Amino acid sequence: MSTSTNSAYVPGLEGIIGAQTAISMVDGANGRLVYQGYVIADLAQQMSFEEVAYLLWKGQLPTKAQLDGLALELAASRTLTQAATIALDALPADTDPMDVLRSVVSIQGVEHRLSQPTVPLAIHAAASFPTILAMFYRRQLGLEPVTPRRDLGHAANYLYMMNGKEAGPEVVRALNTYLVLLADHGMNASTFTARVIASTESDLTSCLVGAIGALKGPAHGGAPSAVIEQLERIGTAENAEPWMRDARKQKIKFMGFGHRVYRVYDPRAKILKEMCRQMNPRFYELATRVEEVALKILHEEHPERPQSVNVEFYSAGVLQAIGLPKEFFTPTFAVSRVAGWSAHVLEQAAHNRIIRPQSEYIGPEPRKPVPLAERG
Amino acid sequence: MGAIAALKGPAHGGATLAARNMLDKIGSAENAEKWLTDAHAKHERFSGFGHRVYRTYDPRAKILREMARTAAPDLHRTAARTEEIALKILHDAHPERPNATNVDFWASVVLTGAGIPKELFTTMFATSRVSGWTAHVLESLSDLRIIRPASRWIGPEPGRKPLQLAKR
Repeated sequence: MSTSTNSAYVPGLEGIIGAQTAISMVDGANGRLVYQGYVIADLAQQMSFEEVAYLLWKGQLPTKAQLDGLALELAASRTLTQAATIALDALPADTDPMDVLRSVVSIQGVEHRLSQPTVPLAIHAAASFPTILAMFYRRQLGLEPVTPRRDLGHAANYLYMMNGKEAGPEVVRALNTYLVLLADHGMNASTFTARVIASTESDLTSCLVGAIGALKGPAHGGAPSAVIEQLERIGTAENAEPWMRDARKQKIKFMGFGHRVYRVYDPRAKILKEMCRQMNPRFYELATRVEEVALKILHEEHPERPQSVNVEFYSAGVLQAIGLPKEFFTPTFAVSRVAGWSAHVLEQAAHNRIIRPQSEYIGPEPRKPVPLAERG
Repeated sequence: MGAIAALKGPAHGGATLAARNMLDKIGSAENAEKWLTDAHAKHERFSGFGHRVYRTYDPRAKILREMARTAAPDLHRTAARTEEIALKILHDAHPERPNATNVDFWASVVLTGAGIPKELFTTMFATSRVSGWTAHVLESLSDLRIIRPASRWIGPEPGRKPLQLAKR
């Protein structure tokens, strides 16, 4: 029995078009990621995260004056409300940083109630993510929060607020590239979540809270720390093959492999891999060997499937080289992706129709309930 | 939290509050025809009507409508007249569409009768729906597959080269 179904159930909505978008395109067949017409390789090492966020929100790269304006707005929004600060301080020190982000972003946004999503609100929200994470990180270490600096960009400020000292230019550049690479990615699960929430005419904060919840899942953004943990277990390049063959027998999944969309090498992984080679040679040596062995084993098992590393695999090495603790890998993904989420919320709100798919009922035929007393 | 965030939207759970706000504006059964005719002329949406799935009277609305009669007799009178007029206007405007009262319309009257302040209507909905949300989360555990639809590209032709900041 079903309710007026006019199409077959597609698990995971795979291949079903959930939205029309001009924000980003994942061209899986050719291994291209495109933001507003620009191929990611042309943006990754030349643009600041702020320029790319502007591009995603407004559809064009900013002029110098527009970029300066954005920097001022971001700087003005890097502080938390009193309620958000109190909430952050009330959370136990061992709280998962993704739960911290989900909770404090929610409280930071309550003053906007049911406002229409706008670019200024997107800027306001995006500015708050690094502040929330850095404040919590320092609280875990028993350290006072660090006031952000107006002369530093988004990536530099994040590291400055975390560590209390300015990071070197190379490290800042690496984090900036990571933030640019991860800023948007078609109709991924968290972006779709944000658009579903936006489609009910809910507010931007609500959309972001839902998206953070989706990103937390290990099948989505929660994988980069799992990559590090698996590499730590493997330990050395020599141990890769025996460990991984044994792992396969125990049905242990290789972390950081496979993607629904890419059929060739993920263009982001390619850039991150090269960054690992330069910044994190120890990781690079082990990771490239693990990649080689994993692809060999996966190919033996399923020669028909195109296998490849995904973005999480080499992200882990870059974030490690930047000096971020692994519990902050997925939250840092959110620091980047909030740009894409909010751009999609703006796009959804501008062409809205509530997203309300159908379901296929597979439960019992309609029946009469037995009153409690007669149920034994 | 994601589900609560979605329920907050006026096009979803927030519709119960929207329906009550509309009934407050209408004020009385006598005013319903004039208010709705004016609102329709201004292309305003009637809150509490229409649903993507039901093509006949929502079975929940039917039960709530009966309850509303005793729960909030005054508001019920306004609401019943509003429903009658609104359905007539909607049918005249779009005879091809199966328009019907939805659950939010009569829920707003019943919740009013139960003495719930209207600002808490959506949270009452959440108090109920949390049982369904959690049931669906549990059900999805048995069929774990990431929900990741595709999208259709309607942006600029891929491959344009970015101008450096100084040249913009």
